[in-house]
Amino acid sequence: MRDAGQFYFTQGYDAFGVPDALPLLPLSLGYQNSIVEVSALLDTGASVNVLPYRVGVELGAVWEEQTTSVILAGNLASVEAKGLLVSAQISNFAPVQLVFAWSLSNDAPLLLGRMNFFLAFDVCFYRSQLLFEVSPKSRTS
Amino acid sequence: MTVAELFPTLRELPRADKLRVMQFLVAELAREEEPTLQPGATYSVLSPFNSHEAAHKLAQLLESEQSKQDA
Repeated sequence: MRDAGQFYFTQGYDAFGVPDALPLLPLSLGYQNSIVEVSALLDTGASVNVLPYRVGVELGAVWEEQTTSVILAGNLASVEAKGLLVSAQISNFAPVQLVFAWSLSNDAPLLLGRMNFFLAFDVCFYRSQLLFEVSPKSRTS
Repeated sequence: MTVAELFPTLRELPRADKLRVMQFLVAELAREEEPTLQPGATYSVLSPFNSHEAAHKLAQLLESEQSKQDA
């Protein structure tokens, strides 16, 4: 891919000791004057980006000040969430704005989903090589 | 223990035990490479799949912010 950054799957073991590998993307999140370094799971199954509560707090966001309430589905259906706009820097790409469903739970994972990570970036997975590539969307799309 | 350290020990094994070691290794490799699900286990799927309303609201929030920046 053009202007792609290459990243390695993070290897580990699942609860049964079976080898597993996750596409965790390192990125910097910025909100107002705070920057937090995180790793987020690339999740094409997720309708939205999801931010655990503690990361939002580390960024200096105030829960009560967020006015957009959102309802999540699946395992996160019981978790209250609010919309939060965050600046994201990935590799040496230009910063982009990502919108997160900031959940009121620390059990929620940090997910990069279809709204709006996969609108802003193209991703290629090469699982057999434990590698994935990320590049900013092309200007024509 | 390294593989190199194992070889002398394996060489001393009787034929039947060598075959058992082979069977063990084949089974181990198959277990690692075949997708397996444990009966009765709980597997978490945390993806907020089908959160269409949430995606719509977040899109509106993003658009409103981008409109402010463009103004």
